[in-house]
Amino acid sequence: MPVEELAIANTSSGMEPIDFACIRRRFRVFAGNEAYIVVARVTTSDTAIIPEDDYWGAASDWKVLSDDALSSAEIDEVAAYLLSTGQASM
Amino acid sequence: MAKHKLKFGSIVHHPNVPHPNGTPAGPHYVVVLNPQEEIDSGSDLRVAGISTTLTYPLPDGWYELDNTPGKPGGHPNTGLFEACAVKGTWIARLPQSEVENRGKRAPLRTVRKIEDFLARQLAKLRKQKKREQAGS
Repeated sequence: MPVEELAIANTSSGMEPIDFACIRRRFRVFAGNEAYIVVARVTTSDTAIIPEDDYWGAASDWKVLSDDALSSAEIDEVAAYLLSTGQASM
Repeated sequence: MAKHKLKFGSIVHHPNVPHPNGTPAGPHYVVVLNPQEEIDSGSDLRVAGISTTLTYPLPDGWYELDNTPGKPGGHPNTGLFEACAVKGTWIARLPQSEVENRGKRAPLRTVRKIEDFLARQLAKLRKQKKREQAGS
């Protein structure tokens, strides 16, 4: 894969990967006992093959968040509450 | 062109998103908030509106989204091309058949922030109801 730039952030340090605007793909790799997120900026021709789930979260992360998400009924309750308390705004 | 799957966190476009008070607010992008199971079952979407009308510092519940001005198609992941924020204070209900899905999505971390905001509001509401029940 033609990689223009590569940066490594140690996930345990909480360090942000470089230049979020340029990020196209993340890879989780393991080296010894250390886990790293490798952030690669790839050429435009590669973007078409990149799954949407790679947008800063693996599919499993999205599933966990979705499973924990408020239901429609709960969101409706919140919307009514925001309106009644004057917090609703666009 | 392949049809994109509608997902939890998808950014979709609607020609006339209602204002929180129900009046039409015109065309806007929105972030889908329904759990994936509800989306897959065809439920009406619950969405948070995306707006370019911003005040700084951003109020609680508003979160900036990545955008790429001047680029056709906007940001590669969000599709947004102007400075904007998704607003947890602007919740709307939209039929799935009315939205245009270009396969874009909000970042996981931003969707998590919206969920946290909504969950905090729900907790306040539940607390308020409990107090009212205790007082009656």
